[in-house]
Amino acid sequence: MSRYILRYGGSQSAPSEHLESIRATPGLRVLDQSPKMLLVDADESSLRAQLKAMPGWSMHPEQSYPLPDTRKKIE
Amino acid sequence: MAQKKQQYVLVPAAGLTASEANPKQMQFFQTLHATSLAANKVHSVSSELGALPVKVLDSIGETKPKLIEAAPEDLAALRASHPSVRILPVVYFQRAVMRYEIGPRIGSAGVKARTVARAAGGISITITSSKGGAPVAGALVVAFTNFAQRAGAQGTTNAHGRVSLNLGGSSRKIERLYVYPASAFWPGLQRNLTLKSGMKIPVTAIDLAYVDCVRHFYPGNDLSFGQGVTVGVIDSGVATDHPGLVVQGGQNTVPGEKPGDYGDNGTEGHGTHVAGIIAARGTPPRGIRGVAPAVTLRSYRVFPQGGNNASNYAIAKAIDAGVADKCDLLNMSLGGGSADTLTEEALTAAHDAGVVVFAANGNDDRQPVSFPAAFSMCQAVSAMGRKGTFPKGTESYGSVASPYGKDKKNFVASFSNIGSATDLTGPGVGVISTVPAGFGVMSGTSMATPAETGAAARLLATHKNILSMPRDQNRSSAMITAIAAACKKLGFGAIYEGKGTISV
Repeated sequence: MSRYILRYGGSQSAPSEHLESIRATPGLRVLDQSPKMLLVDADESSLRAQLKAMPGWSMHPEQSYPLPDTRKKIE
Repeated sequence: MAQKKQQYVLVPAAGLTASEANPKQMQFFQTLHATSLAANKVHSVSSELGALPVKVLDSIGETKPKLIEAAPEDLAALRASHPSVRILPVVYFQRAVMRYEIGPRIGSAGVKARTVARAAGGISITITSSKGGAPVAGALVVAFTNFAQRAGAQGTTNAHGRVSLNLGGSSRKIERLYVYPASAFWPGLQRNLTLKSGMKIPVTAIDLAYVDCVRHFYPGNDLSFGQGVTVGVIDSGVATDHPGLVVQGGQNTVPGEKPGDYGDNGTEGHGTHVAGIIAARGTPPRGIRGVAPAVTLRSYRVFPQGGNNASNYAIAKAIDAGVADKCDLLNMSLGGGSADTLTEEALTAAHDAGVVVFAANGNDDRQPVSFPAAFSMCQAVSAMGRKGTFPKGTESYGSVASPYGKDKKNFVASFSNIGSATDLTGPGVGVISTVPAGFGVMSGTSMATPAETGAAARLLATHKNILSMPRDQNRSSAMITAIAAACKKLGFGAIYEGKGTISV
């Protein structure tokens, strides 16, 4: 299980029937939600299989960005 | 000096097919397609630099992506003349075969230097105010015995201004000594000194009437500048109780935290500093004034409480929220991770919704422009400085480097990332702004970016015809065109400054 972000590419909010289908993915946990996105903890292959039937969605691994800092530090 | 021409792929801002809803974009793609079929394959693109020759090597179709050849120094002008077109580098993928290769390895000498520097044996010094000698608490002190190897010792001063540095004796020769006070003082830099226990190291108190580089390039900021423009700061939060700032709303998009907590996240005040450069409403000598004090300021916090990294989810959610809240400009003084398609999708959606995003080039000492600034849908900002806009003995002196501008006092900051993705340059060396505890000085492309965001807000406030356009890609294109038209080159060269700095 890993954390993924699902993003709906349509101009409106994600359709509720799509959200229901995604939530039904075996073992999936929704960690956060916005009108166009879901942050989930899920198995990659199960998630990809579920999304195949739902056009307009993209799937992305979670990654992070550091806070910029120009202060010199000991390495 | 002209650089060797390189290959790029031109694609529409959204998707892979030019949009009929954007006649300028459609005409450009059709023209380039025709050019690809012509004998010399060269099309002259009209720009503020004059006619830019673009060789069209291939076209997938009339409305489809094009493979072009262009000079890297022309890209900023090309982006400015066609803001709804993404310019992507050609990427080559290697076979997934693992091979061992000869390469540099870290020598034992370097490891030893660090080990010795961290051995026990403290040198206790006191950081004091240059005005009156009061101790300075909470200052980060970094002593480099070998700056190239980043070897030495560091610590933070206690309530008496004292710090003990584990340098292996009671006296040690130091190449560089940096002092970073939390607030109220300029960061200090001393070179080539012998540090001994009992020494007092003074730092310069901030005079809020001092003309730093932001105030030099954007002087006389009237409290009405930027009126009618909404700016979202996507960062570590903005101190909502700072007397010099008016935060009109926002959202915390960090999963698991309260959405309404978009104030400062309790670290060193990065987002509060960024916000003050754009919108501080104080009056020197009791406060400071931002570049566009009348903007409607919104805070979108993406960095968690305590200072961990921001996730691409939090950033994309913040961009979406800024678009939904009808921000005109978004400031992203962050970056440095690898490119990710989620953030690219959110940035493209923002462009399609009439919002312009400014992003910091990054502070990796002349490395290529970092993501997301390197993405075509961002206005990528490098950092410059100006001699005479920081007091003697301050850390800002360490950022002076070539190239220098037509005015030899101007320089591109040594820490700034550069490259053909650069769109703008802004003042970012030794910038006084708001921090949760009052006022502080910071340097970085993080500071240069809000200076240009603020300048853009100030400019666009005078273009009501653009602000009143429907919120689509034609609006963001019109904003970028207006910004490009207001840019002034400082003479650094395109890979350092793009179109230059916004002159308002």
